[in-house]
Amino acid sequence: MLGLVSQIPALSLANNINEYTIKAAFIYNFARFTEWPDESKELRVCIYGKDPFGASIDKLNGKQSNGRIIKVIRTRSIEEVKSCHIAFLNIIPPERRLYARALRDIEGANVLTISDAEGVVGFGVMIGLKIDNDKVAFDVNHTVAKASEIEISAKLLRLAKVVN
Amino acid sequence: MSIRASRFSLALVLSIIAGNSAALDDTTKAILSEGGDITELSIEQLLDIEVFTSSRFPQKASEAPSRVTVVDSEAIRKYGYRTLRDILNSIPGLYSTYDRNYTYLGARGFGIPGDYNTRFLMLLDGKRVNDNVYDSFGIDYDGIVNVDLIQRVEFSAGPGSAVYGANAFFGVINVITKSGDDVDGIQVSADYGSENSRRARVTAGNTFGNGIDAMISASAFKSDGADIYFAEFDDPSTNNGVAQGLDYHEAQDVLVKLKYEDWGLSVAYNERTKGIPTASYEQEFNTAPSETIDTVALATLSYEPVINKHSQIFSSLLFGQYVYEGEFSYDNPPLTVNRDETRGDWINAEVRYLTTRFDRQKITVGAEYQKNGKQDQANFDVDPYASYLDDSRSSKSFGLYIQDEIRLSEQLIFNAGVRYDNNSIDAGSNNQTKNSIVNPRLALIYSLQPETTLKLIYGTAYRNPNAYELYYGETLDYLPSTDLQPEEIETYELDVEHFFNNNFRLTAAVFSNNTTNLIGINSDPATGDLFFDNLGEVQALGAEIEAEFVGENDLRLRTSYSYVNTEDKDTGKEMINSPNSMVKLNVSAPVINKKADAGLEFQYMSERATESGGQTGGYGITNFTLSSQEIYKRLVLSASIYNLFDRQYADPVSDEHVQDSIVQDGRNFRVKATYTF
Repeated sequence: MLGLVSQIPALSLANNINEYTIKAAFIYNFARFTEWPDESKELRVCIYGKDPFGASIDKLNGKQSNGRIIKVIRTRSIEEVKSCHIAFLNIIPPERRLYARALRDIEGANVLTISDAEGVVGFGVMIGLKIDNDKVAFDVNHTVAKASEIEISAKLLRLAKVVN
Repeated sequence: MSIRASRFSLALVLSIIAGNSAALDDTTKAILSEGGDITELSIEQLLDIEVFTSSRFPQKASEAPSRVTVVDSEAIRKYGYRTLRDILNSIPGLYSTYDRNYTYLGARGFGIPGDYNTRFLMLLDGKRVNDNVYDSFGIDYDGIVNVDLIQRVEFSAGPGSAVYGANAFFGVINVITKSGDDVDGIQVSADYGSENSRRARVTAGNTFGNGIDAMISASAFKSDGADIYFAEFDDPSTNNGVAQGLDYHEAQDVLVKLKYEDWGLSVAYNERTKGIPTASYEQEFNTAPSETIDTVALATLSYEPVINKHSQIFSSLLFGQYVYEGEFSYDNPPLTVNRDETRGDWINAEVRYLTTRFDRQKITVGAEYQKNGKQDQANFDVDPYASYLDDSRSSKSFGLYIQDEIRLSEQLIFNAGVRYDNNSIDAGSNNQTKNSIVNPRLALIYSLQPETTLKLIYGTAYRNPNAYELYYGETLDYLPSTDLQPEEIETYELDVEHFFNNNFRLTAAVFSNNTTNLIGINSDPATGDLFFDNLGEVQALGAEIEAEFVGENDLRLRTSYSYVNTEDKDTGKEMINSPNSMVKLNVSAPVINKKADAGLEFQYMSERATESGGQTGGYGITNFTLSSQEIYKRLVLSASIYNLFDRQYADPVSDEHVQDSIVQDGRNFRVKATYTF
């Protein structure tokens, strides 16, 4: 009984690092290691759909990345996403057809698309975040990124689990 | 004792942090332990941090041990769906029947007239809605929640008793409501339609900085209804068959939701009044009062903590109340009002533990307890007073279940579940019924390739005779039916889903449903008195095919064909109200520069047998809706025409009616405006 009771606070403490805190930090790094064709002074990081980050993504606001200043935007309008540099897509329910539709709607815009829904990199999201052995990992769809004139650095490609 | 415990736990904490951090460098450790800026870490450092995720548990539809159809809020807007009934009618294999008093849901050839949806389990945000006297729930304006508040509806076809227990017979309907964050402001909505029907709604919702998500909504609906002609009553003494002013319809509903971290609190309420124009139950035709009022209130407290990275607990405590009052006019003589009154109170407690601790396995263990404090029914004449039924019952039920989803290989999932239920009705000294039942479900889910999934499903489900079927029988019109047995169903199903590409998906299913002891209303051939009876064995064999296409510019098409053949093994006949064929088609496309959507819906149903051995004709109806998109963020407008071509059709109804079938609505319309502040 003693062991059982004392385990509860122990586990919750060790698990204090929320996956989205780490994922927000990943997004910051993706911004640093990506180049966009435009000259804007602002780097617009958009959350499309339900916001899973909370305050952790707001910490990116005002940070510098390659001479641009990051601005975090939460939006439900896919039209607005077209004007973003980075779009974290969080569509609920995470259905393939809904993602396919959102991607079609922003086709042609130079948006680095990111999502942590399962399998989305396979059909056109540029960076897919996933949990692998309790750690955050990512896949890159380089083909789609290149088509959108977005240059993902060699470093990111090297650290990605899967590149296609 | 307590000091020792806390010391021990501190030691454990330190060792776990040390264990977690063993591979991490000093800057990472410093930032993590001091709550510093994690963005200062490099990708390499980030890749090494163990995180804690709560999102690993939800199940993908393609891996569920049943065929799941989802209808979301976008479809509700695009097709102008007014009630849950409209939503369910668009799902392959489902159909509804309306006797102008209640609406009954049918599935895969089973649509027994006069059942009160007792063979479906309805869940509101995962919690049981069915009441404890009729096992019923409303899908029309008597539905527990306004459709505008629905985020999505998930329908799982086939038996679900292996997890959900009683009533998950033909399928499980889970209605997931919007959160305060989804509403994000104050919303007002008003609509107006045929027969002077109008509905108004006010909703407020928000996620506050402290993490509390809150939503509150109320709406009211009213329709005058039309005067309706029934050929069966076409006689000068009964107003030449026209029921005047009796098809009126009123409803009010309230939904309150609060969520904070792992805690949730919700209250859902609906009260619905419906006039009865059909003179059912041998009432005097075209005579008021003739109406039913149904009130449901559910209050739910839920606590769903994530225990650790492997496990989560889902627990809930629900208080339910259902009140029904019916007034019926009889010319005894003198003209006498007969009242039906029902009151159900219940408490339902459920706890479910889900763990992925074991390699390649996802195990769910759960227990559910329901105490039915009141299951009371009364029937009496108001003046002169005469009591025909005054029945009080209470009962309890207990269920235990386990389900294991085993990933045998990358391609193959084996899903096995079994549930034990024990039900006992305290029926006083003379008759106590008690029974136990075990229901299994087995499913093999095989991904041939990423684009193709095969599911092979075997399952059983049951439904106990409810308090209404067991004890209503002591009234004038009904004979006692206390020797009723539980109904059972056994299902085999094979599903295939294939994505030809991102834009085109095809699903197909073949199934065999075998039911025994189905409960239905029968009538004594000599006296005409009604009573509940177990029917024999019924078999349904059928197939469904559905195609979904999403084209350029968001053109969407979903179409399905379902075929089923039912056979009552005793009589060799087809079931009543069982269409062989159904076709459904939904097409939507943006119009007017993507500022609006046009939604076209077509539904065909083949002829159906009626109680008297006749048939209702097959019919196809077309609905059309034009609705504005979120371009006008604050204002959404829509206009709908239902039954566009004014097709005349009728639904088969139960023995309680003189009519064999009841005429349905012709062409009708609705315009609607919603504004968010």
